[in-house]
Amino acid sequence: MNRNQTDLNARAKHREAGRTKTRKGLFLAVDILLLVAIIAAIFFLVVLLTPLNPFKQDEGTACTLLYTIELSNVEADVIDLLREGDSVIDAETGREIGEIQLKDKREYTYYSDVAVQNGDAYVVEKERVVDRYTVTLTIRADAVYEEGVGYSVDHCRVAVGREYELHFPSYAGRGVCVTLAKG
Amino acid sequence: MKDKRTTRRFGLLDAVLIVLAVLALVGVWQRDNLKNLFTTEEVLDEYTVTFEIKKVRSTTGELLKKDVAFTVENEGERMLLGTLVRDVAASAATETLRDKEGNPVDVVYPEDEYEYLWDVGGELRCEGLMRDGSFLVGGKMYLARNKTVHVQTETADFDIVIKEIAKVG
Repeated sequence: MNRNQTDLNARAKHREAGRTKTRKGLFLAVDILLLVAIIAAIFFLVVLLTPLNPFKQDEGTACTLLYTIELSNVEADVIDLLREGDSVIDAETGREIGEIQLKDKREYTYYSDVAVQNGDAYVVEKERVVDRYTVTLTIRADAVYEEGVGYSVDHCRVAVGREYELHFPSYAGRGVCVTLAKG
Repeated sequence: MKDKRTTRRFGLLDAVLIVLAVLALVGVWQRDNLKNLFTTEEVLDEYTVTFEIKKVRSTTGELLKKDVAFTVENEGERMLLGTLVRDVAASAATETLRDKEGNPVDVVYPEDEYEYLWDVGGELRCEGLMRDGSFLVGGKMYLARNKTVHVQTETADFDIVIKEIAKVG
């Protein structure tokens, strides 16, 4: 009789332990689902309310880009500070946007606000500045081309007409991109 | 007697939580469609937007050919402004200055070996709508005569001034 009673108690305990395990397992699954729901909701809100989109992958094809930047009104004695092979840093982003492949210079001229008669018409006179030069730098860079967007070097856009504040190893200056071509 | 709460295996709350979780996952999956719920769906019409660029370098003007797409930044997102209907029309840049006697005269910026400034005019084919008398390109960005817009193409950055907006057809 006592032995039977002990067996019954042990079985009851065993059944109860099994039920508890099932309940714990169910609650754990619901908790995980709840967490997933919260994370998904936050993710959805981030995608909806901000331009960030983790699904958007960097698209584009790698290429070599050759582009020309003009630095105007450069003093004669600093031209030698710009050397072929120097790295070029975009000061705004701090990113390297290529290296100087070729350097050229010409006398610096600018359009004055003086009208000069030329036959029947008037033209704007160009003024020269002594000992000042326009320096043309051909820059070579490993770029990414993205259709519909254009060229970028280390996420820095390169485009004709765009102005750049540039840092070279021994000189800093402002320049404008005037041409670009695939290398 | 057994406690009712301890014997319940799967409650209403659990079911609600599971439904919410599934809905959230579906929401992420269908986020693009759900975005449309927050914007009013309006039909966009075709418009021709005439623009002008003053004193632009010829190296930039030469890149503005038929079918080139102009994009603009609007509220942190880049969007299509329109595409060029034809190659732009370019002429030597002109301006009104004063001669030596102080009289206003129309002057031309001459071409030289290195530099040539152009005045450029062109037409863009855009999609947009009129709302409260204002034109919204793409249904989003306000555009009007005399507005200066900074635009990008694949290869160039420049400013245009809007001269005219007209509905096609």
